Amino acid sequence: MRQDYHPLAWLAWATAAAVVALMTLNPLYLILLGLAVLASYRVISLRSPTARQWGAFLKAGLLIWAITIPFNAVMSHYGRYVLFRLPADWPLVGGAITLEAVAYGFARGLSLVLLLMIFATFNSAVDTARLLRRMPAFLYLAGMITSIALAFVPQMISALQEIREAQRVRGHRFRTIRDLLPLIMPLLTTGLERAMQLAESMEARGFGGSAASISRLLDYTLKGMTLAGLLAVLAGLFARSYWSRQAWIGILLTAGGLLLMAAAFWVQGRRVRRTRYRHDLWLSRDTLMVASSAAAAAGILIARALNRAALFYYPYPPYSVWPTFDWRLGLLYALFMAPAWLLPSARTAQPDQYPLPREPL
Amino acid sequence: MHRGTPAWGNHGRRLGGLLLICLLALSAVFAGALPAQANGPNRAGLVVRFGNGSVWSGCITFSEPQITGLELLRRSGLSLIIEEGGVYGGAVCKIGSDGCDFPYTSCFCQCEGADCLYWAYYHWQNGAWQYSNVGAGNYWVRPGDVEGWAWGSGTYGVNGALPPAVTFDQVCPPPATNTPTPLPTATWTPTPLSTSTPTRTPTPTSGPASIEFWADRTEIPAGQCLNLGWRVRNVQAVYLNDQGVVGEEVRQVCPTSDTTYVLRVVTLEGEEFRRIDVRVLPATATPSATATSASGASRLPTIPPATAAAPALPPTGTPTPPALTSTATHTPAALAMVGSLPPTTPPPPAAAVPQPTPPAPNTPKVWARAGEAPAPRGAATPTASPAEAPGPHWGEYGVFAGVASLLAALAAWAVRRQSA
Repeated sequence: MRQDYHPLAWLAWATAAAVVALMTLNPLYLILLGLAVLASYRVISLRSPTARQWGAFLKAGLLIWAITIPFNAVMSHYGRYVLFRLPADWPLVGGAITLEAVAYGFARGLSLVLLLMIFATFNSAVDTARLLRRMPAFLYLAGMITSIALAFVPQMISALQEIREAQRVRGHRFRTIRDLLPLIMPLLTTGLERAMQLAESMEARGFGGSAASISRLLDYTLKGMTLAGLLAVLAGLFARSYWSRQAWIGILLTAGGLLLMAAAFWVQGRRVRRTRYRHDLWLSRDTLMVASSAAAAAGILIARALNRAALFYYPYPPYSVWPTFDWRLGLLYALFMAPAWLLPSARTAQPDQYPLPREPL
Repeated sequence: MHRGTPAWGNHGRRLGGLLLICLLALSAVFAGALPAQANGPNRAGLVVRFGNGSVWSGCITFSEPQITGLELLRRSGLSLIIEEGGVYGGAVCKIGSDGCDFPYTSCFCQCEGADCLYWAYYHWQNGAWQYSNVGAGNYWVRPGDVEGWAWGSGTYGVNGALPPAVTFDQVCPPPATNTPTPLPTATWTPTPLSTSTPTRTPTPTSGPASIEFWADRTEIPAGQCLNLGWRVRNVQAVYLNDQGVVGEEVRQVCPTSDTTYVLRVVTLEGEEFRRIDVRVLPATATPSATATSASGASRLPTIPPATAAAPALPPTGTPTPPALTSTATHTPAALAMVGSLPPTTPPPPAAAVPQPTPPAPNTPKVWARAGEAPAPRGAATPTASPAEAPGPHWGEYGVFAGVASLLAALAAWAVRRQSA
């Protein structure tokens, strides 16, 4: 039995959590969501080989948070609750330091850290290759490019750690900016090398190689259709926001562009045949995870639709710096802890085992 | 090389010293650039043109050598919605009833396409309005400046609606030589240190004046709020408890004790008054006075537009009559006008003065009482309606602490379960 979740279940969890995190600035709800996501992250990082790299990523996020709070406090001098004052003749930073500004920086930074945490959990939990397998057939080229892009950051972080270790062993110390050069050069080369290696190995395994050949004319037609469709969608969106009186122009353009792209993708997708070696199983715990995430997101969305003030938080006057809290909403945020609880405990877990291929390759 | 020196040793120290010197030099330059202020309070004019063509103008007094354009606007006492922070250093979303209800909507909600309505910001320079090329939060207003705001169509960052042309002397008339009539018990001289003289430039008037003034309730339990609304047409100026206001507004007020709201309307014929008495019923819970206590005025009957841009009154004036905390302290001219109402006015002057709980000597008084708060402290809290700030919701925070600790325990348990 495998010891993780289906990539699509993770996708649903991450999407729901990110939507919910972006919907409020209320620090109390954000803290609860943070606890739930943190539990999921910790549990996943116990099993994931890439979690260590994402830990460094999270530390960077925490550092940004730590900078955000004092930065906002000294830049925004407005509020009812004055904590203390800096001399008024100090340029930019002089003036009242208010509780409101601190609270705003705290909430903003927290929502940023939360997003990073959700992203880190998702990335430590989901193997990019398994996720890319879910891509629609017509996007196989984009899939390969995405795989290189997605692999770049974690590989760079692990390369950075390796190079630093190697140079520390050799007695290298970092004192000035100039000492960074021996770190950056190998970092760049190894990063690019690894990414290329990955892409080559994917190609060697036949990724994207199964497409039936087509005439050059059809190829260019399809590319032109895709480009025209994208441009039409872009122009439509622009027209809708700019000429808000004549909304129908924008809607027509957008719809036409989407139709054009759909046609191109359909023709392109028909050319690609795919085979599977290992099958991702959809287990009951995947269903549970998706259901709990969807229930939490839906509940929070409904609460917001019923009462717009429920999730509202903006510390500056004329609004209040004191957030409100409803325990029913708070418990909904706790549902995002599902990934931490649905896995079988470490003691009862069986060694990892994949099902055998069911169809001839 | 450098063996034995700690990382960042010499270089770090040298760099830090350099940085410090740079900062000091910078602040010295900034400080030197400021004009030395010795004589009297600093004043700057503010002109706001609303979407319906009406104009509010006022003379703002401040004790600092310079304040930002945003701070000047805040001290006017006009109801504002401002998006804090961001690249603008604070963007003005709404003044009075024109603009966008940030953060429910975007701050530039009416400026998102071909038709752009927004608050254009100007400086009065060389006899003309100059469109500001910086945000109000980054512009420093010096004494003698006139700042303009106008709601209308334009291109953001290029042009916009223009406020009417005024000079500094029109907005801030030179102070009258005769000192205002001293208050009976006052031992201090009322130096008009702060806030606005609401002098609304006459809007084109045609037809008879119409005045509507209403409240959704006249009795509230302590700690609750009510809505106060007014709409006037064809008048010259409107004051709510001697605070200049816009012609049409619904304002939430949260009085902590019985309060009288008086709408004074200046028409072409004279002055008219509308009055609403609000009774505050004792509640079981103690009314929270957290917001006002910041400015030390919690013991006073609070009147909503109390922009506590507290004038630096010496706290020695202990026998201050417990009068209304009207927030706009007026220039002597305004004091004379309000202090002794013209005999032609129909209602008795007492009607114009809200009666506070301890019966005050019948002195029409317009000075804000500063309380014990130092001047800059009060000046930091000018808001449209400071009295309504609800305090912390302690009960809800107790529940939150319970839920959060439950969640933390569950999280710790889950991690332990997996790492066994």
